[in-house]
Amino acid sequence: MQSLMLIISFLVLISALMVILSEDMVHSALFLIFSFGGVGALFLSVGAQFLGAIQILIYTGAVGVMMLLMIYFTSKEGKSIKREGKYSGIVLVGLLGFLILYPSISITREVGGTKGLTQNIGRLLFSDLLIPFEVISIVLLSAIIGATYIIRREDH
Amino acid sequence: MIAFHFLITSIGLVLIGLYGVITLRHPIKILMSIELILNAANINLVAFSTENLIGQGFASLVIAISAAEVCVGLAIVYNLYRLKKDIDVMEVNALKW
Repeated sequence: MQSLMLIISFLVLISALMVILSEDMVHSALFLIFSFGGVGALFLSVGAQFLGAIQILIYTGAVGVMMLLMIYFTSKEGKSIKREGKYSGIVLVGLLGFLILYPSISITREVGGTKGLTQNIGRLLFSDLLIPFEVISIVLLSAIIGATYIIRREDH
Repeated sequence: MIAFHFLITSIGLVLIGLYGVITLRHPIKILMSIELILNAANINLVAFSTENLIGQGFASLVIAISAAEVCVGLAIVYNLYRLKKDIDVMEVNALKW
């Protein structure tokens, strides 16, 4: 189990790197979908069953398909947009990574243990997290209205 | 299950996503990098919710927020493409079109 999760983490990191490095946008979106699926497997391995299912449904389903649809809408033949400031970005990110990595490799506590069943998550969302849950619903509604307002045609 | 490879995965995802946000110039790829960063936050929230389920409930709220964010972001990208026919973020330097 432990070695299987190590392999899945490795695959998640490799495919996340390929999202950044690959030249073709469609390949990049497919690597992103694979990375989301690997994160869902990590969720399932610590007992978060509801979140694993939601990760597969929303991320690899909805977000991945929407990314692919927008890539097909806005793609241009023969024009690839390069990266900018590669080496200074590596230096900056490497410095930040050293700062984060140094305190966090000393954490040796256990993870997981609680069963994230749908029933328990639902009870939690309607008792302790009730106000954030209602705020999220308003945010989602305003995001839908805002997206349809932004994307409408001017001549109608 | 030891926390080590969850921490390594989330640190790697944050750094890869940050590098993408800094260096990439295609707006859809920048949105993908932001999604990677949000996934890294979710991994930590889920992995360390050991005594109670607050972390997992909060991670589900983060998933809803990121879905809303990618919806509005892709609408902006499509509108940009329709107005300028060029979605290099270096070329989009005017607030008034």
